[in-house]
Amino acid sequence: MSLTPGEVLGYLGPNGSGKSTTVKMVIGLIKPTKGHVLFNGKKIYDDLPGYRGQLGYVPEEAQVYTHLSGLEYLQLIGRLRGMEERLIEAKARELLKLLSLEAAQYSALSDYSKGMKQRVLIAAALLHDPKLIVLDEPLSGLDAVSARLFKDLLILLAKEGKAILYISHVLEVVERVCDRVIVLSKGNVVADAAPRDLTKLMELPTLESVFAQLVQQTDTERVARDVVGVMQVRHA
Amino acid sequence: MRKDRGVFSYLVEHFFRRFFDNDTVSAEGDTQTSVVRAISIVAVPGLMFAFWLQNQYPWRGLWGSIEDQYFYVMFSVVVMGMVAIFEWEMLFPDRLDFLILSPMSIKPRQMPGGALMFVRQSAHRRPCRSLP
Repeated sequence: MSLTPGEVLGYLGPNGSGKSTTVKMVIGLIKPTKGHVLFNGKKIYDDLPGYRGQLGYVPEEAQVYTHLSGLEYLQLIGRLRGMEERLIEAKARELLKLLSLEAAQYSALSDYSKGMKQRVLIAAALLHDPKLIVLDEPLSGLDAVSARLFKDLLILLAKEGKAILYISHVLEVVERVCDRVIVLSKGNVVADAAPRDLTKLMELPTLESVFAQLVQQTDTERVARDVVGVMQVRHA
Repeated sequence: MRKDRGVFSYLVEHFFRRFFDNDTVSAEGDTQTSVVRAISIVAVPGLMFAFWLQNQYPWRGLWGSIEDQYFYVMFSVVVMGMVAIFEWEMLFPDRLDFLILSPMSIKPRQMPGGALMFVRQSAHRRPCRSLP
């Protein structure tokens, strides 16, 4: 697979298909057993700290140091990324303000809601102006307004020339923001095309229906009926 | 405004803060208060014992002074034991550190190195150049 600057690549697949493993390989947490991850034509392990300096990553789980405040967390991330103090201060405060976290910037992250933590993680991923942005379920916990802001932000970041790898189960968002989608099933790529090309080619109305057909999902309505049936059993 | 320092120095400072800002030591998450409180809890028994002994010196006998010395050695061992029980895992990088710090521009050895440096500096009673 490849990702070019200015492109938003959706990475889809059912649970256990290998999405998170791919993300871990892309950010250099695990080494691939076969093949290489290249950035600007060079293997990422040739200069991992240099590569990570150009990488912004929003993880699936909102893992943060809960003893720090939102501002302190961004300051820590900025310092560990080797940014100048003045720049960290200016950018961190402005990003918190833009993401509606100004009032809570001095509160401990333990007091933040899931959506607020997610916004801090988004700010942390964008703080150092990365060239490659990896987003693993970034909308998780975000309210409707923040989610809409984030979708617009993604489109704008792509226009600015950022390469974005977007992993999500919210297919209507993927359909709206991604230029291209890769669909995984059992570790294999079963589709790699623009969302509108996929729906046109498979003569299906939405990406969701394309996805269901590609990964051969079971008849969800029938399974739902069966679950309710099992729930209602009173005697063994 | 802080002076710009090296990434490693910030890592050591981070591990220092994390050691004192956790549920065992501090509920409020205020580093300086936690440090002062922790040092006070550790130091007060030793100071009180020294205060109680001050009228007994210089007339205290040889075995008495040896007893006192052994008390301080034992007290230090007890304190270290308590630190080991309650704070051992905080001395080293854990899963959360790997999840948060791994995607940063940190060299592979810097994370465990930062934690070890914090332990070393703590052992030499020089916790950090500046408290956060």
